Amino acid sequence: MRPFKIAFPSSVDQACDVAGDNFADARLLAGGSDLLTSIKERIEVPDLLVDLKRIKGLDGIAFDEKGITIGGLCTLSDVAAHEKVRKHYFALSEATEQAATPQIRNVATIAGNICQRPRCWYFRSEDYLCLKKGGFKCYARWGENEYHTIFDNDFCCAPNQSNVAPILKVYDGTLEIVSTSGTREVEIEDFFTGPTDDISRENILEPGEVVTRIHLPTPAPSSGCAYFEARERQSFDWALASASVRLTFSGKKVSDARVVLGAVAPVPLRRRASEKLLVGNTISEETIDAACKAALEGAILLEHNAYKSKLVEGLLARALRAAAERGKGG
Amino acid sequence: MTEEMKIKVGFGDTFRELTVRIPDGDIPPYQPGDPLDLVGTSEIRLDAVAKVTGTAEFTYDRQPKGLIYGKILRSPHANANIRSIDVSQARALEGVRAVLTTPDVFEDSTARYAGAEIAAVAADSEAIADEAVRMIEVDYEVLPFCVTIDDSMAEGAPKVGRGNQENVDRVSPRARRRRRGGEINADAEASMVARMKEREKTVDKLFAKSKGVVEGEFRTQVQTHAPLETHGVVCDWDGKNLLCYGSSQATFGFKRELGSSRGPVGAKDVRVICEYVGGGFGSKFSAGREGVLGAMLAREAGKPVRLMLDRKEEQTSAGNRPDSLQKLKMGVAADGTILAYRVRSWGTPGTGTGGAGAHNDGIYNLGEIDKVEYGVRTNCGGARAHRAPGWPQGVFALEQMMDMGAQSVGLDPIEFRKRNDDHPIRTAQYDIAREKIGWDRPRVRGGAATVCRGVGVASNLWFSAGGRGTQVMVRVHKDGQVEVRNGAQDIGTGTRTVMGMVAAEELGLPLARVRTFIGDTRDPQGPGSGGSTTIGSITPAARLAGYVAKQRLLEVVAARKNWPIDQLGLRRGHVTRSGDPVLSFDAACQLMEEDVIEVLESRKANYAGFSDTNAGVQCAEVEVDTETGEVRVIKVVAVADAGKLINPMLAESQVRGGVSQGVGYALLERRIMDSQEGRMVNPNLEMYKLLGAVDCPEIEVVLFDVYNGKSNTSVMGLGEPPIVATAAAVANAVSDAIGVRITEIPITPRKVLEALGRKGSDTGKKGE
Repeated sequence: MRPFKIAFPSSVDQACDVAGDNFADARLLAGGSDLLTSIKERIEVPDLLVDLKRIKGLDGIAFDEKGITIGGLCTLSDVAAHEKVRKHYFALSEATEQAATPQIRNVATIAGNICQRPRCWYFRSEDYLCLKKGGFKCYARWGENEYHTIFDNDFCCAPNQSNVAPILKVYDGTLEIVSTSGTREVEIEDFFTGPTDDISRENILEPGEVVTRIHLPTPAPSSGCAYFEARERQSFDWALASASVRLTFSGKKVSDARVVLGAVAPVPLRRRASEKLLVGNTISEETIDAACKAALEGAILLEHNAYKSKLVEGLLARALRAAAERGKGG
Repeated sequence: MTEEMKIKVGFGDTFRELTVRIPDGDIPPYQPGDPLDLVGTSEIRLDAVAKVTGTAEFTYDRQPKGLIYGKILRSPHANANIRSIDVSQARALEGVRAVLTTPDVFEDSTARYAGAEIAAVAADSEAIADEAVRMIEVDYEVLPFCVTIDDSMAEGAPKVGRGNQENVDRVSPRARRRRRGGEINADAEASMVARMKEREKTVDKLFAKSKGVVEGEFRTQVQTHAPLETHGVVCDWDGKNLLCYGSSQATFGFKRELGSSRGPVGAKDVRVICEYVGGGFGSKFSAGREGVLGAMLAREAGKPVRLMLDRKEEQTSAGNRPDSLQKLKMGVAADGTILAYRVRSWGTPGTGTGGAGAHNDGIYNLGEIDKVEYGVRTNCGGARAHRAPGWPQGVFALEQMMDMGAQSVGLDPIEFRKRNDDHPIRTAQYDIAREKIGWDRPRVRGGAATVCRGVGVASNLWFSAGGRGTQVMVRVHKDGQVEVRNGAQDIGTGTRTVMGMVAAEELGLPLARVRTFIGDTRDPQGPGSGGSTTIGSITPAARLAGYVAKQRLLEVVAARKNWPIDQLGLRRGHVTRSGDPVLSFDAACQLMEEDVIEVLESRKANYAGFSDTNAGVQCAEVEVDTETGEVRVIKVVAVADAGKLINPMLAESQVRGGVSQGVGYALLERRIMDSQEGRMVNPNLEMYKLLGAVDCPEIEVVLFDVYNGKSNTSVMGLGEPPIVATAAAVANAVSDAIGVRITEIPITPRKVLEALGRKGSDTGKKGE
């Protein structure tokens, strides 16, 4: 680890100021569970860390008839355990409490989780100068890619491993982003960017911008959500794949659907073809099967990760069944 | 001279008499019904509080005055020759106190795996040391490499070895070699090949006669030791004498190594201290290059140096269990007797070819055996002994063959094993394991359901009676203090505690009344912790030393009080006369004329004993999710034999540890090498996955208390045996659950899904 300076702003404006002026070598620090490991491995070599934790008012959860607003500094433990989250956004709770370990969930923040950098052992190793770090080669594409992406993997195969992001997509969430030039609301749908947009980044955040709040609208009363993931190890592991689903019902028929896959693409991957197949239909083994097949359209299986397609089918089927049951039950 | 006597041996309520020759000066073993106050009780380990409160001082915690920090530069290349190393910039950096290079220290200008030592520095802070190694410029001649067993065995593979070394070497059976240069004697080789052909024919004939013939190809992965405390030393010189705090499982081994006049360190006098070690699992017998570099940096810098590996170095360069590729064939008679068995196996111990053997031909009576074994060179970090070296990988394959063999003649897997097993202890263990796991309960099997369950069985064997070469000192002081001393380390098995217990038992004292000293080579010689023999080697010497000290004290009492010595004993803190307490232990010590009774006793040779080996049977129950491929081990029943149990709780802990590591080996752990650059891509504990608390199954331990009679404590060590059978039992259980056999570990969701994909519509062998 190389020595660095650290700033402790007491307001978002101050944080934006500091980060904005020193953008080139400054990094925002919240829980630190992602950033500090990157600094230790010299993937990030910042001169300045801007510690956001002393900023007041970003660690609360507010709930009203329009929905829920979660402060960016809320820890994953806070979110998972919150009574309103458990009651109205149960799948968010499910996803959050499956992340990492209790120790990490107690420090890792929800905004940090959304903004975490992708997981790839080549990207995360000081020994490899991969495409994403300014090199000329994606080592995972022809190398050890068992845990890598099966979508949009032409240039970079590093998956987005956020547990939270797919669920926010499923709930049609929006992000409040603050910078010195003001505040903007961004739909989570528009937040993530892929390697073909700009290989060196994963989202639209500009220098000096801070994700301050996350807002989720109230789900329709006749809707059900579910999150399922599979992993090799039950204590602390990254998902091999995950499926997040929201189904809204009108009678027995699906009137609205969200299907999002995690850990298989550079972004939390919305599967509109599956959604389209589900809307207007009842949930049966046939529609589930069709939705799963549609979810895999365009998949590019690599040498070691073909199993992920089977896994996606299994998880998505399970999530669809659970969401259907919850939707009709509620 | 030896004394012939009759002792009772056996277990449970069945004992038989055995005539043994007790070595001169030794005492007879514990006998069934002996009145023992401490031995056989679950005393809490003496260092429990120090460990859980963080007051125990590990090597990393040692901070001699003026301590500076060492750091090693390692090769980024999988195979290279070092043309030159320029250390001038590093040496010029402020705060750098010493710089060494591998070609200078070890006369080795090669870097044959990514992670090989190139140079080392010592500096005033870790940050400076880290900067300094980055300033060292190395000119490498980069060579092609092989990092997997398949790559290395492929036609036209790059040569891993130097000179005329082939990538694949037959290591067993082996023709005798000429003394010089290791060249194979052509005549001896020709006759060996002829004998191998003969054996092949014999076994082929038996296969032809067999009712059931089964074949399988099995693979196991490279497993790193991943001890919580990494390898390393803190070295401090006083003139030509070296004080080395080492994370070690062989304090006297470190001492010999660093003090050898032929080694690069060559210290005149070496004292090694290792009071606590955070795990070794077989990888800490040698000080290693890191230990040598640490000592030499300290000498050059004129200051104490700490050189501890970081986690990445630990994973790439501090040893591993080799992988294996095993092709097996078994022929079974209609009555279930195994007639013949063929083994062809390969393994990669690193850049050499020795030490990758898989013990896939043991435990059972396997009929005629035709076994050929090969070592395969790869450009990877070298193997070191790893908890039961060769056994978990061999048994993983053997035990699946046993299940397949049973199936080929329509026998229940446990019945089949009993039919081919005559171990006096294990044959009594099968039915206990069967009952405790609920072997015969109905289960959802076959893979048609989403979540299936299955059970599997596997056995183990070990040889851990211990042996000679150990001494224990007992001192009884006039003020009543008692010391028990041995210089060996305790790698977590509870050596300190059991050593104290057997000595305290003789002296009739509670454990808390004796002070135990371990892990310091100034104390009497002790064994390296290998082969699970530490307890078997130390306790007989400790018991004998305690016994002799007792006799000496009673002689004092007898003389001073004028009591007949044959009426006297020591029990529960008192001198007893005809069984009644007559004098407190402290008061007895007060009668001593001199300040201390000092006794040094040696471990005597083993006797005949009840069984030369200790046995075990494990059964596992697993749950497999056929949609996600996730495998959960629900329960493991481990029936284990540790000879006479000194401390059942500590014995049980060893079994729990072995089973946990075995489940991790079965489901999670594996070193993954990058095919492009030849580096390990998961040299951390994030992607090298150790078993976590949530993944740990319920472990039910059933301990056999066996009066083995091989030494005066009848102990058999238990550090290694419990890991032997676990992965095999888990694999058999997975096969039982989903009706398709997975022949490669770790059994990840990927492998389960792939296996289910290959599977047709056939269902499990037992059905519901």
